[in-house]
Amino acid sequence: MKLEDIKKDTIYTVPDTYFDQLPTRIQTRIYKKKPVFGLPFHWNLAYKIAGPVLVVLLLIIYLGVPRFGNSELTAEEILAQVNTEDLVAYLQTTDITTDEIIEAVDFTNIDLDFYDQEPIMQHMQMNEKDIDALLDEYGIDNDLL
Amino acid sequence: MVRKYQKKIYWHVRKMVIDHDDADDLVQEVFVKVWKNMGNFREDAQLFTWIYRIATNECLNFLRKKKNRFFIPIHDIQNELTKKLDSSPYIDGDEIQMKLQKALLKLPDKQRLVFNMKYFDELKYEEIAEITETSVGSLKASYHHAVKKIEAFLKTD
Repeated sequence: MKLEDIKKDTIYTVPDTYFDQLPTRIQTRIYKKKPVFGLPFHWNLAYKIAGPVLVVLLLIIYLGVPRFGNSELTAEEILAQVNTEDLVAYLQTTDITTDEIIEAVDFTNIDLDFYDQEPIMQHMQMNEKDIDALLDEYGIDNDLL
Repeated sequence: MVRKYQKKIYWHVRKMVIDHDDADDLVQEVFVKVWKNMGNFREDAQLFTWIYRIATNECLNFLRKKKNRFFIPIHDIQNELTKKLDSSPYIDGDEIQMKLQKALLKLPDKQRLVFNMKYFDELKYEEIAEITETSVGSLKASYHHAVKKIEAFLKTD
């Protein structure tokens, strides 16, 4: 059998009205891929802004919560945030005596060389006479200082 | 544009992939690509040749992917396409025509492509050369070998 003996007609067929509908289907497919670029300008802008704003809000919430809570602060840090006047006022309302407070202080780690620390002495606004009287009151030997 | 070229492109694709649904999907993809790349179309080339080239590449890529998927050997793809030829509801040909189509499926994809364009679509070698970006000489040789193989297959049985 030779090739020329065979009819050249196509053996393939298509469903009825296939070619009538194909252009519309192609157009639909093109527009389905289009929405990425098809959003109105103000919506595109809104989406662009919304993302970063959301990230910033999440960061504020994430970083802000521990700061507002006391769970991660030590007792010393919390006390450091309280004014000295408030602390004194609080202590005056309690039954704790001055002697008890001094007994609680660990003097081994405190440098008591007041005379070399002019700023501290100035801050305390005490002269030598007052200091000597205070040392006498608490029975601290002046020679030790 | 779609209305003008859709039939030629569809039949070109259909002869390569056999199945109507596959051909339908590929033809749509071809025209979507044509629409997307219209800006890249060079005026010195014929629009039809350009669309034909896109369709040809889509067909070859489709068949290549089919072969690569699941590492199917080439003869299994031939069997799959032959089965579709036997079972598709959208095929209507006599016994000899069916035999010719089955003979064509035994050719390598590119050789089958050249044969289809020359024999069925009756394109000139120069046009096929432009579509496939191959020389006219190699196309003539390819077509000659294809015809010999097909006639040898038709003589069997």
